Amino acid sequence: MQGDIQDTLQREFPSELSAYEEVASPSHTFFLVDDHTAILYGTAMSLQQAFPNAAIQTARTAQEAREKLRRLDPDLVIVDLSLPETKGATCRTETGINLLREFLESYETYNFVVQSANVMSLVRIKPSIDAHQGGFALVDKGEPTEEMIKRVNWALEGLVYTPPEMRKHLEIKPEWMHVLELAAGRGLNDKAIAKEMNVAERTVRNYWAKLQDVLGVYQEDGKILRIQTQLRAREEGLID
Amino acid sequence: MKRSRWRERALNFLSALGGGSFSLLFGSLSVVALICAARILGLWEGIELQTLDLLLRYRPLEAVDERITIVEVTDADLQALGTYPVPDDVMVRLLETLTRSNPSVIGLDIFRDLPVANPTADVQSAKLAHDSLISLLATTSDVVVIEKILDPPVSAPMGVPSENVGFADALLDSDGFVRRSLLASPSDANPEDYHLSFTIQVAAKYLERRGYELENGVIDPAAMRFGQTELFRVREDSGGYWHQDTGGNPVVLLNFRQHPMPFRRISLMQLLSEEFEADWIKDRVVLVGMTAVSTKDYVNSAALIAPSRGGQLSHNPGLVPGVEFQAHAIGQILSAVLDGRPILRPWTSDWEYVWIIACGLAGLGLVHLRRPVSTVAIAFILLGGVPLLLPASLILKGVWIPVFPAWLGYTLTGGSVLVYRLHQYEQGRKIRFQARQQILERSYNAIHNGPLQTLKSLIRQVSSQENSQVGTNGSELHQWIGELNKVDSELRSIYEFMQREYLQKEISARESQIYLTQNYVIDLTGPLHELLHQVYQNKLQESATYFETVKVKISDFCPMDDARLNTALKENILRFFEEALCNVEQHAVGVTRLQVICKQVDDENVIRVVDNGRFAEGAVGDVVENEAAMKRAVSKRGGKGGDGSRQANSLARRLGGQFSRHVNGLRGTVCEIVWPIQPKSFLRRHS
Repeated sequence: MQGDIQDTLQREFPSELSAYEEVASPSHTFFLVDDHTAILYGTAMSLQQAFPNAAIQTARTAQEAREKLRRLDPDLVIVDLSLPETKGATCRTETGINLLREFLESYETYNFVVQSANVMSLVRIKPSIDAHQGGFALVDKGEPTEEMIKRVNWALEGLVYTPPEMRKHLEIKPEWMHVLELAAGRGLNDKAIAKEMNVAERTVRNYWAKLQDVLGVYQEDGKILRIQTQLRAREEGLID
Repeated sequence: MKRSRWRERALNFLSALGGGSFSLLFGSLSVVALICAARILGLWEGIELQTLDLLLRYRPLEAVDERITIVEVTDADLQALGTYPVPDDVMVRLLETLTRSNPSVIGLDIFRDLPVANPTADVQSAKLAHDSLISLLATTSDVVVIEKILDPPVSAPMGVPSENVGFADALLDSDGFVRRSLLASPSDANPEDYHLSFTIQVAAKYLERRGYELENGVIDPAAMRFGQTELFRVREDSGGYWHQDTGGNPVVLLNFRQHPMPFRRISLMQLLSEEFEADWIKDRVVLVGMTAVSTKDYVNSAALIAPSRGGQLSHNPGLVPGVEFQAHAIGQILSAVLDGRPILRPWTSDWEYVWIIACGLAGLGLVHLRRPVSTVAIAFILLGGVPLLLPASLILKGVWIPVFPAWLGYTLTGGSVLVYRLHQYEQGRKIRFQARQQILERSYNAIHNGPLQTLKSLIRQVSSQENSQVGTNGSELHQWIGELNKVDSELRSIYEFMQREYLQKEISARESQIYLTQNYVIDLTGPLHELLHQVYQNKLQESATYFETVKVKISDFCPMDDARLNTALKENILRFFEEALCNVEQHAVGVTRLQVICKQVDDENVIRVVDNGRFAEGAVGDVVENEAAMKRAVSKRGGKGGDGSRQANSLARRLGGQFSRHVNGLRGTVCEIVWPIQPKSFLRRHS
């Protein structure tokens, strides 16, 4: 597992290699897809710093990413949108978007972080993002590293983060609304809601994550997410 | 030196032809070959003869032929005589009257093989009249009378010497029109018995007095000649003719005199009562014949202009009295010999084919014209005048050249060159457009993947640093970040500008693949539920102030089976959906909850828009409170009245599904379209 990133780094930046030699048994597996060497390297560095025990796998083209993900079972997939289909082909946002859509549908419980210089192009596949069951977060490539690490952690926890521009209109799926109604109206807990809705408890948690994102409620110290979410929902007039 | 330049030019031309257009050269050669082959098979005969008529008919007017005067027997004359045929004693009086005025030649274009008695006369005086007519015809050297030698024959009056007899047989073309004049022929009864025509007999007598002998031709010994003027012989296949039997006899084309009244005329009664100018007769050719419609001595000609009833020129083909036809035939010989008026003649067939092939290949020359297509098109039209105008001017010189095959060849090859050039132009435009789009796409990809990425990574590094070292030089770093972000947005604006340029051109190029409204563009090649979602998002954005008042917006966009939808159908579905959203905005009042479903449910696709507002017709505020009224209003819109509904119904029909718009309980409206994934099949329904 460790070999892959080290090979890459040795190829690209031989002098930096020593820093990674001590890493032992990984606690997380990250799969990084980006064709841009500097970004790939920078992201890998930051991740390694934040998760010293993590194993990092990389891919540079859409085709390579597809092949590797079939064999891997990563805790988190970090993808760029501007990708070439194969080595040497032109980078296109279209390629990255199609790849992401495909991944979201085929690996519906995986956690994803999309790192892009142009996040708004994702609006097109919002239905796929909404239908996705795992964690999902967007990071602009220009945002500070700390911000990126924070989103990675959210995604690992199964939470959802999309930028404010993408959630301007408070679009809510019927099942999310149902969760909100059962919790706020009848005071049910996740287990009871799952039973009522005839879905897994994990799915209910995912619905909460989606609701939180739509309402712009994120983890902050000293706040209880569920209560914050219900308060915001009342403010917005979703529930009486 | 000079030779090499020519070689270069020739090579240039060949390469112009060969530049993807070799098949064009081959095609044109085949077209020309086919046209020539069709001509050899006689396919163009009819149309070529008709074009000859047209060419002759549209010549400028000529002067009246004063050498010939026609004494005509009209219907009025026959009524005055009270009998028909014209009796012998009237003929005698006519000839005596004419002779007194010293005509040069008298041509009697009336058969007189049998005696015609005056009904008022007794047998004795009738015989006397006939005898005196015969002796007049026999003894006067300047009289020619007609016979008919082709089957069925009609002989000349008994006792008239052969030098005073000419045959009046007309040579008809296969379409029944007269365009040629037969000058001499053996009779059908006896091939050894060679006869001269009435035309040539009258002309020869007239010309003999002026010192011209009838001789054999110099260029063509079988043709006739007076002095220097050879009467060009038309053969079986001359000019546009194909296998028209002439038996090798001298036949000339008729060069009709272009005038509505080409000859002076005196009626029989005018003549007998001596109401004419002697000058019209003296030293002239006088032809006597029937013009009475009742006697049916007419031939068809399309080359002649005839005076219409109002005395105005008519360009319609018509019937010509036999005697007038003879006058044209005689007149053209006299004018040719004495005035140098041209005798019509076709080119030799070699030259005709050279001309046809040249015209056919002239069209190809347009390939070489390195000019814009519009110029080539104008050149094509202008050059197209040549195969029409050249024959029209040559006919004035008496030369008849093929028009239709030449024009057809030119038009077909030139036209295909033009089509080819247009295609090439279109192709070139497409290539240039694609190249432009490619450059735009590459450049913006390069910006996106190069500087923008590097910049972002730089911004991240700097801002991470700023976060970690608060205090020391934080403000300086902050300034840096500001500057970098400015560069980022500047670069991005270039990128976005290029993308807009790219899209705009792409839109006009792929109009059919794009859903276009005033404010946004959607590429129809994506999955249907994503397209619908884009429409939804854009609608929320567009009418933000309205939709902000709708507190709860529940939407469910899930993948739908769109495998059998083409882009046109997808576009219609998007329009329907947008219209449904617009209807909520325009007609529902007090909406607090909007539900939009676009998904596949079992084996059906569903698009449903549900609101909980009160239905208002037209302006907001004009609220329909009562449920019945609302139902009426909704069904009015859902019925034949609403244009949108009609379109939705037709869309549902095309999808093989159902459209409905109905009241949702006490409050709100449901608008939906549902269609099966698989087209309804007979088997499925019954299994």
